Amino acid sequence: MKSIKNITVVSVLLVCLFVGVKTASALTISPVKVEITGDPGQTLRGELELLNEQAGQKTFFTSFENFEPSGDTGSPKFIGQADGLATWLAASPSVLISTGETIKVPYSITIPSDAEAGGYFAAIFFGEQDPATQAAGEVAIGGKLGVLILLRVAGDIVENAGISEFTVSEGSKIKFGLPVGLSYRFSNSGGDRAVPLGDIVIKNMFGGTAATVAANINEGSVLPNSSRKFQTIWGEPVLADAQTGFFTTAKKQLTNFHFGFYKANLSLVYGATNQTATDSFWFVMLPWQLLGLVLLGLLVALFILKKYNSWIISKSKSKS
Amino acid sequence: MSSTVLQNYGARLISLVLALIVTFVALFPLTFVQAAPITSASDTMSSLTVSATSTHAIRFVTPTGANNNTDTIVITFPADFNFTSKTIGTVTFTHGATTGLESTETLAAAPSATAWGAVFSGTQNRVLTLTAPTDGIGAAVLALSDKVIISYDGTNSINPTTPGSYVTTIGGTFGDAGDITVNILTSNQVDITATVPQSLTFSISDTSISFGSLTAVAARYASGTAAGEASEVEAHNIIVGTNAANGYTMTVGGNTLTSGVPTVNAIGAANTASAIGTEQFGLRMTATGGTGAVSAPYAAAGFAFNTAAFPNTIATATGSSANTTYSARYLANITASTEAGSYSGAVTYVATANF
Repeated sequence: MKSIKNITVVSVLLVCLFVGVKTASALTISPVKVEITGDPGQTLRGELELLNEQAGQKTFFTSFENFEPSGDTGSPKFIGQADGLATWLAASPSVLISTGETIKVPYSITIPSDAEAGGYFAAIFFGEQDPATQAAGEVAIGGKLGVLILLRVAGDIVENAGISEFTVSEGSKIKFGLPVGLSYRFSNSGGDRAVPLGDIVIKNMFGGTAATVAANINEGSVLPNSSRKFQTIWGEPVLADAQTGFFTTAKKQLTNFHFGFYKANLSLVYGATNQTATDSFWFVMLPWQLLGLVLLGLLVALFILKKYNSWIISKSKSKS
Repeated sequence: MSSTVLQNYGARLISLVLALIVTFVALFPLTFVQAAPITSASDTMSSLTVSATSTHAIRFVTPTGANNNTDTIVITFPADFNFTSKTIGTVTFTHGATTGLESTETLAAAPSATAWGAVFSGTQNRVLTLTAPTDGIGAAVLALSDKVIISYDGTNSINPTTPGSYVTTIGGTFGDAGDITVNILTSNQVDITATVPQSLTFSISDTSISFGSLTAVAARYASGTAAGEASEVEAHNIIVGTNAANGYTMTVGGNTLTSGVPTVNAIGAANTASAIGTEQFGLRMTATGGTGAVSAPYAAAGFAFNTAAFPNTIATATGSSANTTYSARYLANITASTEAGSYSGAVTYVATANF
C-alpha cells in the first residue's frame, strides 16, 4: 500500500510532448537535387518550387546544412552549418505560401574567390519551425523538407576512384535461377563526387552474352572519401506474393534457362576525364529443380524402354 | 621645371590613362558570368515505348550561355538507352532568344571557328559532348537566357528495354546543369509526352501530442488527446513520397522528455520492449504504402530513441516511391523516483532525396 502511495506522489504530469505548431504540415518541393558547377569568386543563382498543400497560409523558414554520406546507400547525414557550402548559400529567411499555391524561391551560391576546387555538399531546408527558436533551446517540433545541392568548384580536381568489391548480392555463388542479385562497392578518394556509369555484361562459358544489366541506372553519386554499395539484379525481381513451389520454380527455370558457369563483367566510366574501372567474377547457374525433373523423366523413359524391351523379347520367345 | 608645366604633364597623363581605360573597356567588355540550373528543360520523344526507335528534342534555357571556346555542353542519357553507331550527322543544335530555332550551329568531329565539336562517347554512345567553336561564337554566340534545342533523329536511337523513369542529365563546363525525367512505357500503353519534374512531398498529420500523466505502474503512449493513451496507438503519421530515382531518406532528431534538469531517459539505440517501472522514452514506426521502409532500430515491435546518433535515419526509400504513410508511436515509462514536474520534448523529422 505504501509503495502505491509513493508511486502516486511521483506521478509526472506531461502537459504536452510537442508544443508550438498546432496544425499538420504538407509541403512539396522541386527539384529534389541540384547538381551545379561554378568557379571561385562566382555567384550561382537558381530557383526552387514550393507547393503548400495544407489548409491556410503558411510560413516556412529557410535554413542550410552541410551533409556527408550516411552509410553506403546514398543517404545524406547533416553535419551543421559552420563552414563550407552551407555558409555560401543565401535565400529569403522565410517564405509565405497560401493553400494550394506554388511559389518559386530564388537562391544563390556565392563561391569565395579562395575556395579550393572540388565537391561541396549542402541542403536548403524549408520548415515550419523558426531555426532561431530551435537554437534558443525552446521546444521544437515538426519537419523540414530539403533540397540537396551538389556543387563542383571548378579547378584542378584529383579523380581517384575504383571498384573495391564485386560479387553476388547475397548467398553463395551457386544460383538456382533468376533473378541473380549483383552488387559492387565503388570507393571514391578524389576531390569531387563520382558518378560511375556503365554495364554489367554476363557471359556464359562459351563467351556468349547472356544479359547486360545497367550498373547504376539511377546515376547515384559517390561522395569524396566514401564508398557506396550499388545493387542491381539480372532478371525480374521476385514479387512478395510470388509462388515459390517446386514446379513453379522449375517452370521459371525452363522459361529462363541458364545452366553452367557464368562470368559477370563490370565496366564503369566516371569523372570529367572518363576514367575507367573494371572487375569480374565467376558464378554457377544450377537449376536443380528443372534438372531433377529432366533426370526423373529420363529414368522413367529408360525404365519404360527396358520394360518394353523385356516385353518384346518375352513375346517373341513365346511365339517361337 | 615650373609647376604649370608639371600640371600640364599630369593632366595629359591622366587623360592618356582614361583614354586607355575607355579603349580597353570598349574592346574587351567586362562580363560577369553567372552559372545556374537550366530551366524549362524537357525531352520530347516520338515514342515512349520500350525498345522503340525514338527521336529526341531536348529543350532547355541556359541562364549562363556559352561564349568561351573551352565551354562544353554534355548530355548524358541514362543506362539502357542505346545510341550505338549513332553519328553526329543525325544531331542538330539550334538556339536563340525567342523560339530556340533562330541560329543553327554546324556540328563537326572537332570544333573550329565555324563549327561546334560534337562527340559521342560512353557505353552505347549515351554521352554527347558539344564543344564550343574556337572563336567561342560559331553561327551565333550562345547567349545568356538563350533557348537551346538539341535534336536526335531516330537513326540508331533506341529506347530502354524496361519501362520506368529515366533521368537524362545536362551539364558540362558551360556551368549550367539540370535533369530531365522521361517515363518509358510498355508497348500496350498509350504514349503521352510530358515533362515530370522531380519532387518530394512531406507531411505530418499532427504536431501537438501528449502522454497525459505518467505513473510507474503502467506504460503511457502519446496521442493527439491531452490525456494520452494506456495502450499503444498512432500518435501521428508522416507521409513521404517522391518520384526521384534514388529515393529519399528521413531522419529523426530532438531530445527526450525534459523538465528543466530532470529528464526521462531515452530508451537508447537498441529496439527495446516497454518495461514498466523503468525510465523510458521511445519511438517506433510502421510503414504502409509506397516502397518506403522504416529503418532499424525503429522498425521492430519495441521502441528506440538513439539520441547519441542524432540525426538518425528512421526511414528510407531506395527508389521512386508512391506516398508511404509512417505511423509514429511514442512510449513513456517512469520509475517511482522520477522527479515530479511538467515534462516536454522535441522531435524533428527531416526528409531529403538521396544523392
